Amino acid sequence: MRSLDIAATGMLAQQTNVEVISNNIANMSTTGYKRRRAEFQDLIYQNLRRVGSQSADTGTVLPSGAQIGLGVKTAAVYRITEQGNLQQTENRFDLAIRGNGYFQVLLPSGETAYTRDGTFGLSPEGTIVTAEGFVVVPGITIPPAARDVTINASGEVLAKIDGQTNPQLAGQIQLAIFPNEGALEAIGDNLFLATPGSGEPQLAAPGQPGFGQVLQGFIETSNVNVVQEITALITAQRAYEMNSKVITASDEMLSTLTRLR
Amino acid sequence: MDSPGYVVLSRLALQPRATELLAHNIANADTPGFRAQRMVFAAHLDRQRGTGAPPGGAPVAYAEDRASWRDTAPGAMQRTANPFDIAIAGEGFFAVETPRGERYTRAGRFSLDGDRRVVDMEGHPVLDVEGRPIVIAAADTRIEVLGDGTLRSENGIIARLRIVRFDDQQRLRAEGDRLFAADDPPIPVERPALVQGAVEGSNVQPVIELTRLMAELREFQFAAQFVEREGERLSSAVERILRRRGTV
Repeated sequence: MRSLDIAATGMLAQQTNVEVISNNIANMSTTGYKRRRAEFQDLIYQNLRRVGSQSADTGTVLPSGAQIGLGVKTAAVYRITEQGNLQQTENRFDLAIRGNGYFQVLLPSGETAYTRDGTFGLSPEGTIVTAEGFVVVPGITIPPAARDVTINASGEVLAKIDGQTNPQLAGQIQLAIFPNEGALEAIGDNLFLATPGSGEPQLAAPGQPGFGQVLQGFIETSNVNVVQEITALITAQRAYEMNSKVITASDEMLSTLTRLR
Repeated sequence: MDSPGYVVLSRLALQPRATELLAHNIANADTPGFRAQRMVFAAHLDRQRGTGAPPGGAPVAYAEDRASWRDTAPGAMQRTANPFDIAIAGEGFFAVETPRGERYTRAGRFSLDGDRRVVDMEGHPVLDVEGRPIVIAAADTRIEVLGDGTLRSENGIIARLRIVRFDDQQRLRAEGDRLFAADDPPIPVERPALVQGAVEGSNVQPVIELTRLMAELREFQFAAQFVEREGERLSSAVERILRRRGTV
C-alpha cells in the first residue's frame, strides 16, 4: 500500500504550506515584509510498463506506459517581491523604496545586509541607523546644528542649518539591486544577506534606471494580502483533509484484506 | 474449477495501484503544471491450451492494468504578479535544459539565477527558439512577455521562448520535478498563446479524485467480499461432497 506513504507526502507538503501561510499572517504588519509561497513538485515515478516499449514481436508499440508517481515534495518557499503599500508616518527618517532596491546595512560582524525596512533613526553621534542601531551604509552623519533634514527621491540627504540659505549635502543613500532577489537569504529582523544564487549586488543612487525612488516620511507595509492568505489557508486545510481521506481509505482496504477468511 | 477466485484476485491485486495513482493526484493538487493520471484496466484473456469457452459462455477474462493515462486538460490559471511567471494558454510545453538533456514542462514559474539566466525552480535554464539559454542583461528592468513568446524589455527584443508540442502527449514520461521527457521529436508551436504574470495550476479536480477514491474503496471491498464468498462456496461444496460419500 504505497498510497499510505504517498498521502503522507501530501500531508507533509500541506503542513509546510500552512506554516508558510501562518508566518505570512503573523507578519501582516511587519514593515517591508514580503509574503512567501510554498512551491511543490511531483516526486519521482515508477515505471510499471515503460513508455514506448513493444507489446508484441510485430513491433506494436504501447500507446502509453504505466507510471505511478510517489507523491509530492516542497520545491521552494519563495518570496513574492511585489511592492507593498506605502504608509505615511511623517517621521523624517522613515524611508520607503518605491520600485526595486534594498538599503544596505552594516552589521556588527562587518557583513553588509540588505533591507526594505526604512524605519531609520539617529544614533547618539547623529549617524543614520536602523531600528536595531545598525549603521545605514555609507554612514551619513547629520550635523548637530541641523534644524531640519530633507531626503529627496534620488537619496540625497540635505540638512538645513540655521543661518545658511542653501541646505548642506550631508550624504547620499545608495540602493542595491540583485539579478535574483528571490534567492536572498532572510536572517530575521527584516534583513537579508547576498548568496551565490542572488548574484552580486549592483549599487546606484535611487532613481537611476532600474532602481527605485526613495520617499521620505513613508514606510513600506508588508505586501501580505489577508484575503489571499485566508483563502490559501482554507485550500491548504482542505487539501490536508483530502490526503488524510486517502489514508483512511487505504487503511480500510488493508483492514478489509486482514478480515478475509 | 477455481478460476472465479483467481479472476477476482487479479482485480484485488490491481486495485491498490489505482489507489496509489489517486493518492499521487491528490498529493499533487497544488503542484503547478501537474497532470492527473488514471489507470486503464483491460481484460486479459486466459489463453488455455486445448480448452475453449464452455458452450454459451464467454472466455475467462482477468483484469490487467494496461496503462496509466494522463489527463491533458489544462489546469486553472493562478494570477501572481511575478513578471517571470508565464502560463501557456492552449497546447505546448516550455523546454528547459537539464544535465540529462532537454526536458519539457508546463509549470512556467521561472526566475533569474546569479548569471541572469531565466531558470526554472530547479535552476535549469529555459531555452529560446534557437535552443540557447535566455540571458537578461542588467540594463533590462521591465520585462514583458508577449503572447507569442517574445521576451521584450525597454531596450528591445531579447529572445523568443521555445514552445513545443507533441503529437502524442501520452507518450511523454513524467520524471518528477514537474518535468517530462520525450522519445519523439518535439514539434515547435508556431503560434503559442502565453500569459505573463500567471501560472498554470494542477489540473487535478478534488471532487473527481475523492469520488473515485470512494468508488475504488467500495469496489475493493466488493471484490474482497467476493473472494470470501467464493471461499465459502468451495468449502461448502467440499463439505457436501464429503457428506454424500459418507452416507453412501
